[in-house]
Amino acid sequence: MSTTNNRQNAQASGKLYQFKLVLLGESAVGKSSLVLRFVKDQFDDYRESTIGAAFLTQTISLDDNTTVKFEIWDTAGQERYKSLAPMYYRNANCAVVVYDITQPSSLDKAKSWVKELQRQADPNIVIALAGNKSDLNARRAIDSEEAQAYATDTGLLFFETSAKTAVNVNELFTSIAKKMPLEQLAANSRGRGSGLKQRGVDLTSPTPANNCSC
Amino acid sequence: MSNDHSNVPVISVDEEYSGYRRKYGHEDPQSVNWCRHRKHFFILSSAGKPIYTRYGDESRISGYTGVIQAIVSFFVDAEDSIRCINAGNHKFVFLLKGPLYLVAVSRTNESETQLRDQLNYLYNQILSVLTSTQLTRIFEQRINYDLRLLLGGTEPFLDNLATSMSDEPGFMLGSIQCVRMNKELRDKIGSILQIVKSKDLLYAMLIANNKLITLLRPKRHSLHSADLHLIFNMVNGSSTFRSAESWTPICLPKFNNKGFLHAYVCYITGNVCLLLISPDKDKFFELSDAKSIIVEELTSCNALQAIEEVSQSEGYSIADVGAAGLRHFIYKSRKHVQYTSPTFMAPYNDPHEKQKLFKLYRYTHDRMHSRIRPLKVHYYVSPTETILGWITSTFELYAAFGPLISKSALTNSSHTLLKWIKKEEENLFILNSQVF
Repeated sequence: MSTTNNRQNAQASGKLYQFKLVLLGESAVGKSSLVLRFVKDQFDDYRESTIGAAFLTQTISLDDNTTVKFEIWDTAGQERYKSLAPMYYRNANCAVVVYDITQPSSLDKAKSWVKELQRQADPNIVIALAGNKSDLNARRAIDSEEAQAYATDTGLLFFETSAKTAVNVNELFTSIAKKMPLEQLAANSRGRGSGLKQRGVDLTSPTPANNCSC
Repeated sequence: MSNDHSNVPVISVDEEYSGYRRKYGHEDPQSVNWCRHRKHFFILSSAGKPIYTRYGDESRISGYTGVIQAIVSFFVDAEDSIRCINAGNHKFVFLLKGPLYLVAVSRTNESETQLRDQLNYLYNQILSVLTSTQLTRIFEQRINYDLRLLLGGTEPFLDNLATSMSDEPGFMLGSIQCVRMNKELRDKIGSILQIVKSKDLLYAMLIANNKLITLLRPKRHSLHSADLHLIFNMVNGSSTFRSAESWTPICLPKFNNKGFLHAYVCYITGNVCLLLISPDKDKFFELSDAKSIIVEELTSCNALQAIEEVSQSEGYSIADVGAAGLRHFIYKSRKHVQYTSPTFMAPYNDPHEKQKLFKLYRYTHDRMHSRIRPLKVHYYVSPTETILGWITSTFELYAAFGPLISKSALTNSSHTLLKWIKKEEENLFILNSQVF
């Protein structure tokens, strides 16, 4: 279900860049909730676990001439899907690694995902760390400063987000888009890799994709 | 039973699980309410570790699973295996599957065979997320393994299956239900599915409300009804498929219990779900493109709208059949492994009345399939219904009439029903599934 959002309608010409984004993190930290807030502006308090992986797309305008389309793989966080993760991050241009600010173990898990990405994924991958559930500040177990320091040391973008209240969700994805080396990627990375790659890399079509206008 | 948990490792489950809230998840296993449930299911490892309970929290039932493990071991030591305990109104039915023990504790009047069939469905559900290869290997490496670490997130499917087995006759009958629709429409949909056949595709199907619309399959691989039940249960058991295109490994035990297939799942209308199953884990985009083609073709011949309308309708009413005195029925075509049944209208739209009717069907089914003395015809009068059970080489019929109906009226009415089904057969059932 490729949904393009209204923001895209504003621009009629310019460049469209397409990026593969993967979400990783422990189960129940809110990966799907972040994506659904970003793509559909929806939130469900009792969302069920993702089964396997879910694929969604969202297009945002960076400025009048630049549109970025994210092709998002929202992976399931459960242990049994762990071995499938490389299939989704192998050709990813960017990744959002999510933890839950109320669950100390989830940051450890996030750090291990970051390590794995830095070891196994594309060396140019842009990684963002998202501390989700910032609306639950009263139950916070992980200091912002601690996570920020780790992100800075490791070269990650960092946001504390709340899929529930929508705080920092669009900011997270927009700053990823801004950090992508757009021109370089457009020129270099055509047709690399294997596996789930088909639409994986870039495309510099002058006309924006027009899947639907809801 | 002891409620002393101090010497049993209590496994922390706190936030391991997702936002899915189990309806009875917080019930205390020592409470009266917990004991009062009519049918419990327990799954434990052969080491006695809890894996699943239908009611309450697994980490709090280790007292019970320890006892179950002890009972099972007692018989295993004597080179025997326990099958069933009858205790007053309760039946305790055991299914031992290598490293897993499955137990049903029921006072629903279901027979030992019916309950064991249900345990088999639960076992298959576990295989569908793990495969038998993985399951065996895990417990070979560590007999004490806590399988919940790997099953996290599958509780909705086990819960949904446990409920469906009480509500839907398809599990008892070992068959599935199709959406009743015009044969021309079904054929048109089938021929559109044919367009996307490729070596990447094993099965393609459209499903609405737990009913099959159509199925495309290779000539050599039919799809077993037990595997279809797992597919339906997966689609029905999680709302997450409604928000995106999904891609998930799934093991269909009757097809191959040792390996995974990969399922592309996407709702193409509000009610209609498209499933494309591939043997190859890297074919998501190929199948996603196939979906776009299917949707485009269905839209261009106005079939998409038509399917959605059919899937929204409630099915057919008993009045459509025009058989005097007939209140409800289940008809299974043995050749097609499909059943059909009208909607539940008064008095059976009341859940309590519906359960009572089901109980009569189950009783009749059990009598007719008794291993010692199977029956061709069974006639049973209860204070509220007369139930006819009738099995031939081509069909199984369970029909409900009023308690006062005469045998001749019942016979006439049954023949009217059979005539109606014959006439409607091509709309009620998929007579020839699409093959390639």
